[in-house]
Amino acid sequence: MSIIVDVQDLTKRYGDLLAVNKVSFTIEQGEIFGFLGPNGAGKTTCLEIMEGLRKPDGGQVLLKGQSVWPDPKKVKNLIGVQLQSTSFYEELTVKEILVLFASLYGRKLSGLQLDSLLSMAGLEEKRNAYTNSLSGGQKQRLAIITALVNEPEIIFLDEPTTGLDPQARRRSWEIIQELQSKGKTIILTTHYMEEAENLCERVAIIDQGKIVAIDQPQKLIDQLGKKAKISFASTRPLESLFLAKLGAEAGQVNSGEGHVIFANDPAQAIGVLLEKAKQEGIIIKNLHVSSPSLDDVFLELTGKELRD
Amino acid sequence: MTFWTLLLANTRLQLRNRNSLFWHFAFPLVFMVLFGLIFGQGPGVLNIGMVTNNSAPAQHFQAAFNEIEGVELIRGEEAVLLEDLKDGQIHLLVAFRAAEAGQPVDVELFYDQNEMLTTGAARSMVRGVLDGITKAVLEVPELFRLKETAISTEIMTFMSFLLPGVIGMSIMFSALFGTAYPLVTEREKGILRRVKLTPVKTAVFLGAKAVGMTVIAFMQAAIIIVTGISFFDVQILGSLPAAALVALLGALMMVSLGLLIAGVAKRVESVDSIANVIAMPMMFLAGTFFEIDGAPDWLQSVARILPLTHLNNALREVLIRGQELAAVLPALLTMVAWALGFILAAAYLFRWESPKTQGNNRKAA
Repeated sequence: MSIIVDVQDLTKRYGDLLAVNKVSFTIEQGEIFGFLGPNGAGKTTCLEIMEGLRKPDGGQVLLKGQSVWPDPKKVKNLIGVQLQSTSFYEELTVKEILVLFASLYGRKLSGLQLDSLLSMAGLEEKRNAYTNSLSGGQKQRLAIITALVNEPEIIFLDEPTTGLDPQARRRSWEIIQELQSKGKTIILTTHYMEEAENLCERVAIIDQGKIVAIDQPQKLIDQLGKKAKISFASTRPLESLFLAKLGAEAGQVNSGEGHVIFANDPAQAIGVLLEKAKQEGIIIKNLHVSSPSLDDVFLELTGKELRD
Repeated sequence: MTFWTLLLANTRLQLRNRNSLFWHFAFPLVFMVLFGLIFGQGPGVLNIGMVTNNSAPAQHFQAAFNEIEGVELIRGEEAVLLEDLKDGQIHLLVAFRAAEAGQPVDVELFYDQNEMLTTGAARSMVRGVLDGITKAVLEVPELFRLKETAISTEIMTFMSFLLPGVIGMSIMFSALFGTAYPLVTEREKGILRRVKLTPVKTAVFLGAKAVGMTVIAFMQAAIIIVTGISFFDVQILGSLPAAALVALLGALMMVSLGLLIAGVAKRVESVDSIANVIAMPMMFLAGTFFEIDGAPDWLQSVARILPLTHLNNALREVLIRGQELAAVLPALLTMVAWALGFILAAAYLFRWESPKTQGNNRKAA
């Protein structure tokens, strides 16, 4: 596999705020690569610099060996872009939108191309519908196929599933996977942990303009080094002394809204928890054992919850 | 090809939007019809009330007036007709009094002394007819042989004056709003950012909008002209291709001003106020509905340089007075100059992104 996206020391400043701070990474051809981070982390800014919409203050972006800056025109035919919160001309139909955008690339869509785009997005029935009659999911899928009219090799999707219900989200994932199977390279941003875990081959966790970790989702979770996550609540506030004692024997304890123990041996950790609680006369509620997720990786790396 | 697809899309957007449909086509027609109803009768028809005594002279009088075009003779009771005169329903009242045979017939004229111009003409007309009857009855030999030649006058009917003004005004409103409003909306919605990602040239993208508006302008002009000819007896003396060229220049000038407004307006809501502040005073000052001869000199000087003034005047000269394009060359050149000025300023101010979307993205990045 060859490297198709090469980003080095990318930096963008808004006044005093360092929105993107020396970000470097590479993406291989055919990868689905995700930026994971909370709102305001710098995901969109990063993406828009790579797309040629925003000029960086430092660093460089190479797409298939071609530098995006200072002349973004050179990569326009190489990339397809779905912007965050896309809207369309309301009085045009789905088909007219696709034909119009193709023509902006100097292309004429054949009937076959049009059909295949519409069927990919499940919009065959909506071909002559005005865009303002589409559901949220349909609009997002239209935005994705609109990004494909110039047959790009690299596709940028900025929060392709934000605001969608789980079913519509899965439908969008299918499209993205279909694109990957056609050899496209896909770069997306998300603040949904499941999306990053299920869809992305590699994710970059980004916080305050910096990449704090970059790897395959499972590897990031494995790097936590904990096999199980035990979460619970208690009937009365727990003293820090209790938590300290618990931590010494059960595993790492994080106290937030509820309490979480990361443990290598969940059975032993639960035993310790219940025993200590009994000694102190504390009743444990909502005991829940699960595998750690990217959420936990994020919490571990940034001290923040991923979703707000 | 890109250009034609864009042009088609823009035209569809304009024609599918009920708001813009109304402003482009219904609004100018409403103006035509309203002004036609209010002022269209103008001084054209003279209403003369008549109280008859059924004498031979009265019948001659009646017959003579029936042959005069533009005069309506209304017969009735004196008391009723006097009321009509006071209400302004009739311009003049002629009363034939009862007379004994062999004696002169007393004819009494009533008129409104505040309307000297109209009633003066009507009174001499009545006197002329009465003289004619006298001479005919007395068989007086003719001293003069009068030869009358009709000459087309410089004075236009009000509707003929109004029609080019309504075309100019419609082109102005449609081009200003039809250019600025969609462009600022597209910018606010982020459609322009999406377009910016494609290789389309700015000139092609905006050029398609300009040409689309020109197409709308031609459609407006056609509708207004057809309405004027069919319902208001407007005489089109000039050549339509020449008028089309004037309309084309006018549309391009107003579209350029629309682009400039789109550059100045930060938000959709500001388009309305900016465009109206420019268009409303210009509509009245540019002689759309009436000449502004009565205005102070300085105001007339301002009016003389306004873009719409040149468009209205050129349209009026070509369409109604039947002038050649060469005769309106100064107006055409002035319009080109305005258009270039607007385009340069618009190019300087044009933005693909609104400060709002940038702000949002900065926050949400």
